[in-house]
Amino acid sequence: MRIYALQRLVLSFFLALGAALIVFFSLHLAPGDAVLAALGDAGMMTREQVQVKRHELGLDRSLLVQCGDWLAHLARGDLGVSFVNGRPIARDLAATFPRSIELVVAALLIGVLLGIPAGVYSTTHQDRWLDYLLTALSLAAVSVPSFVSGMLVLLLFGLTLRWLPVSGYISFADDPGQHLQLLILPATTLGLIMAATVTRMTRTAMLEVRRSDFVRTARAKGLPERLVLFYHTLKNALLPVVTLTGVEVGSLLGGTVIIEYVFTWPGMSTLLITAAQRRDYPVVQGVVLVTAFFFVLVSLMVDLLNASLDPRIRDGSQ
Amino acid sequence: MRNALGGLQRPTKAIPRRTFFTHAGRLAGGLAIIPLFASRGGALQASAAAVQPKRGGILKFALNTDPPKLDPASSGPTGAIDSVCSMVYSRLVNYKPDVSGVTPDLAEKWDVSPDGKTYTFTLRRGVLWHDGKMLTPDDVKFSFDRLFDPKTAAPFAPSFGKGVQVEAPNAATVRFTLPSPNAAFLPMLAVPQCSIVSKAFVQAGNNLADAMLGTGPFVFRDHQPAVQLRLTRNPKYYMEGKPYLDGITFTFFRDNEARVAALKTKAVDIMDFVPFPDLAGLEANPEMRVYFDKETNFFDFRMHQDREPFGNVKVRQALSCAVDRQAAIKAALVGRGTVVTGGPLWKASWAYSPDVRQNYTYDPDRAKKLLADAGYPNGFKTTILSNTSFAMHQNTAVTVQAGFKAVGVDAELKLYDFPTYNQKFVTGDFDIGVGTVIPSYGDPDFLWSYFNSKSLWGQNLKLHDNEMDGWLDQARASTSQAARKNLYINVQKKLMETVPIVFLMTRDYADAAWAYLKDYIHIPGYSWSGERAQEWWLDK
Repeated sequence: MRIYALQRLVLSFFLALGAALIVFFSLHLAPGDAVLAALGDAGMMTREQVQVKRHELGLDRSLLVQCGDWLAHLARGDLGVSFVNGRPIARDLAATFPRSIELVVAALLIGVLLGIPAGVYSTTHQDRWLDYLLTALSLAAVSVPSFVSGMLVLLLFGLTLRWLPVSGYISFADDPGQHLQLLILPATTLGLIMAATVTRMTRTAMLEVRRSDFVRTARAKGLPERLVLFYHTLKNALLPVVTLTGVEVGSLLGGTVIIEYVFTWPGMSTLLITAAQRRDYPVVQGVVLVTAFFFVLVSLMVDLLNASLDPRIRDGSQ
Repeated sequence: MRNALGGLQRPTKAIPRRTFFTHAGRLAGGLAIIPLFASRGGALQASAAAVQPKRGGILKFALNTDPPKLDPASSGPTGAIDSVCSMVYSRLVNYKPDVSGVTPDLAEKWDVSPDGKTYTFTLRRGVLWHDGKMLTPDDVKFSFDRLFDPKTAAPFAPSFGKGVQVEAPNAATVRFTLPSPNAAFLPMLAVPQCSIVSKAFVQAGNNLADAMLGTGPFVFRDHQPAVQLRLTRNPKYYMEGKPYLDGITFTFFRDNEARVAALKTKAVDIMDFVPFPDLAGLEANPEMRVYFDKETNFFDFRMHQDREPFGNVKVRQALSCAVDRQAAIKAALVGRGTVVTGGPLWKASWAYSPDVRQNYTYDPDRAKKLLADAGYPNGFKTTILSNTSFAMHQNTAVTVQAGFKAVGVDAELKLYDFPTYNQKFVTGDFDIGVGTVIPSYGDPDFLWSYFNSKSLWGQNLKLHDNEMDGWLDQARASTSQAARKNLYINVQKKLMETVPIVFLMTRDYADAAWAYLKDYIHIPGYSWSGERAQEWWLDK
């Protein structure tokens, strides 16, 4: 198991690096001059100014040399500095990455805490009106784009009812209460989509497990229905749900791009979009590298969690 | 950028306060600004001025974008940094409140040599940096040497041209020696890019793109990128008793709805760049003050003079007649704009003349006739360069395209994101470009930066009009305002006749604040929303 985990970890690193390299080359092939973008008002700058800046940023070197230089710095644990403002990328990542993860974790919690009970309820009340209602709500939540649902949530709870602050960010250290209030709307918007998916998956998996022989046996032994439902059915139905949840972490991280924009949540997606707009290559590369690494790590954790839930997987990996 | 567009015309990102094609749009001098932006707040502001200002309070200011870098010299494509820099840094001179000229700031007084080439500034004594050190002439010399150094990549530096020498001959004075007289030199010094920075602070290794140390009314406290930037009161500011506010907290919003919602719910006290669709609602609120700038953002399309058929003046005149300005205002500005009937000067400027009128206004029949006269009775094919980053530009381009089509000119839209668009303009890779012109400093000499063939803009457009170059050079060198005015009238009349660039409309730029913010002023076009913050106070 340990060797398996270690192998996956090493593979994760190379996967992340591969993703970052793809981004490195595709970014440099994209139209638009990084120097002009970094300088901002480049339309009014002399060619001498532009050339000096190009040299300073190292963009007058060949792409391979630039890539080698970046990898060499990376090997020393140095993600580099922003083209635009010279700030160390690690510093910006250290500030923004936890904010995005916080949003994802909060959304995940909302998704799981709402989705699993709703899925169980749907299973036990199959083909009744509440099951249909939950199915309809799930479909709606999955179908409506997050920029629409986000805006609706903002207008309803922020502007009309004024229950919660509309948008912004205050760090937990500065004001924990305000921080959590500001987290609720974006996390809920993101979490409801997750909840819908989890509901559907839980319902489907449980219905399938309920038809299994061991569930029938459990009932035949006279076990209470609650025990059959939660210990035998739900526990076994959770495997695909856990896998799905792991996969959804990637979707949630992707979903933060819109949600962070709508709710002015200053996470890593905000950093990424801003850097891409400014052709700030080192920042984009840094964000992609960290995101990719995080994603493969989550996949690894899901695998390990599955192994711990299912002895067949655990035994097979040993 | 960086979004006065909004509604259906929502931009894809926050609106830059400066234009892409211009270096920093800000105008200033010569424009009597108060009547331009007073709006409903004017009379109330005047009466409030008589009231004793209250001290204290943190002003919450919603900016449309997070400044990409904090360095006043190398500020990026948004005006947000200028608002912040105006509060943290000081300059040698500032614009007068009506922007009719300059007023002392760090320079107590100045002398100009009879030949107009030497400016000697006497510095105010006892001015302290925020770290407690004394301001010296060496700091001023360092600031301008740094500004002119190509390594700083300062967008404003080329405005001064080459060869400006700065000396600090003694402990109280700074001397600038120009290669040739420049009537706009003082107004140029009053822009935020000419903020004075601390030599010791920079030489200690501090990155000015990331940290600020000035002599202005507010002290930089911290900057959390994409979250907020906090300033606190400078208790040692040289204007005794000022500023009145304890601090200013800027929060950054990329989304317009969220920004307007924050103002409406009083999560912030003031916002810049009100989206066009929200203007009416905010204006209707009796507790709100809306500060307009309606005359200094000129939407235009400009033609590459070396590309056929734009070397033919009749073609340019025809295209000017082809575009429906009102339709462009509706499409691009949600109706919040004004058709430009003259040249690119605002009515309050000392160089403005009602005699300058557009000769080739919207008239499709005339456009067709001019095209036929030019030898293109069946029109021709061309391309229009614009960007997708700012809906107001994109929608203007669409309207221009429709106007062309109606007279037989088949124009393909070339829409790119801002960096690509910028690159294509700078490298002359376009037939027709759509964007905005905003005066770079408070003097009609800004026309030199756009229409002199030696200017960067002139080179991008491949302008070559010796007569116009001569007028612009003479106006820059002249010390007589009357003579300069006549020269600028000549320049504008020539522009109206030869139309290398067609001015379509201006937009209603606006800041909005709750009425309890007192003595706020907004200088149109120029440094936007951060001027004279030492005078602002909260009546609550």
